[in-house]
Amino acid sequence: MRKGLSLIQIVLVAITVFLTPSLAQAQIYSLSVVVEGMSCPFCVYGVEKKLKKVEGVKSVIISMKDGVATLIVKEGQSININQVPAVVRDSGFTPGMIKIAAVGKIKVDEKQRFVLLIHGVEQNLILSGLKDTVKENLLSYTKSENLVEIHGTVNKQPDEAWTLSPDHYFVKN
Amino acid sequence: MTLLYKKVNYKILFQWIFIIMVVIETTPSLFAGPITFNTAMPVTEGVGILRIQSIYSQSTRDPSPQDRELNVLAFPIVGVYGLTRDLAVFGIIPILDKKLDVNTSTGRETRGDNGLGDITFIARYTAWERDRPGQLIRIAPFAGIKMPTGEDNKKDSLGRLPQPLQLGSGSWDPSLGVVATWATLWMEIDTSASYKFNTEANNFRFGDVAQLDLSYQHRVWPRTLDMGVPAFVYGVLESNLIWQDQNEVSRMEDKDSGGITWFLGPGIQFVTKRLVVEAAVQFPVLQDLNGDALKNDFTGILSLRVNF
Repeated sequence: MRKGLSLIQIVLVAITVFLTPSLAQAQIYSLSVVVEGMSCPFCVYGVEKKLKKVEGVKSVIISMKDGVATLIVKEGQSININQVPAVVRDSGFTPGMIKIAAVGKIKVDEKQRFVLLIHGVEQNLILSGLKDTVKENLLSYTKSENLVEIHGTVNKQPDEAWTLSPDHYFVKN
Repeated sequence: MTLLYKKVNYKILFQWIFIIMVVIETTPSLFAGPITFNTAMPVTEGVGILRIQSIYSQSTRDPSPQDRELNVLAFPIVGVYGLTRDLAVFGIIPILDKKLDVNTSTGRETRGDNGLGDITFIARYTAWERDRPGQLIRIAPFAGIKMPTGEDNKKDSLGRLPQPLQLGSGSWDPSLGVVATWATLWMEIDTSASYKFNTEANNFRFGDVAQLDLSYQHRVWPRTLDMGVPAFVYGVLESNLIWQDQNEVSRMEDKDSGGITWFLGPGIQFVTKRLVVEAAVQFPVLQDLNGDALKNDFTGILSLRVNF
């Protein structure tokens, strides 16, 4: 291990390795939401308490500095994205940008859109903002049974569907 | 009773007990919140806050031969619950110990009582809000009612205690107000304006009370934020401007009652996710009172808040 690696970095790496789902699973295994308005430790309690009650959530990690709540999902389970903004609102705050880490299979729907199929919840994510090279790669994955892990930002559309703009992705063997 | 008031000249003196209780009782807070008033306390739907305070107030410097000295020790227990995301209810249960030392014709006497005071209920509705990453603004009107739950007819060897020295007023007193909060990661400002309509009981009516509160909380530690949810230490400065109308005894105005007082209170808060420990001392920087009245020396507040 590198001498300059901080304790925080070591802990984060350990958490990530520990929480990464097994290859057989398809799920949203981590979700981060910006909680706008969260400005002091005493007001964190209510939103943390409510987010812990979201189905499938194992633990909640809050960063006051970034105003972000990160939901870690129980092994073998997934999380319904729809619940999260509602819970943040019920806590008296405003939900901002939502980022997820999800594992699923890539399919092309009837409208010729790439979709990430999530098991465990009835929730498919329409992939958006894809470059041509990415589309070519994803197209090859649709013909295989490989799971693809995608990290990115989700947005709710007027028709209630969720889109996922990938920051990065990779194939799980 | 009126005769007794004139003889011992209690009226103005005791209105300060009432003013102090107004400061304690009418002020309920999604942020750390102020120390000297309650109305800005933060609460989420389905979450409760219990606040227990210890408040000591001393009034001396009596120029008259009576050499009056008033000490009030109050333990207000404040419960707050978020009924919905915008509607919160407050219950304020004061436990009081009031003592007045005064020279009488038979020597130095101590008068007073201790026990449950008048309970106040307050409902607050967040009418307007704006959230940004790391900061929020809230404006919330509130309405309250003070109920006559405290003893209001206590007697001692000198007769019935003057109304302001009783634990309760005997009256149902509604109040209205609005509270506004601007909180960021490094500071918070709360302000509350309220008006209390006092009603008559026991042939006595306290003057109405208008109050303007302001609280500034500045994060002094940690200087920079790291990961997680660190405990915060805030340096606090609070201002309480209080106007009270003249009291009425047998529907006659008491010219020796009412007036304006302005308190400034430095304080400190230690804030975590579950609890807030806080302390402040209020100093009266202005006391423009009608007639002759005993002036407040200082008020000390020690407070604990717990989320549940």
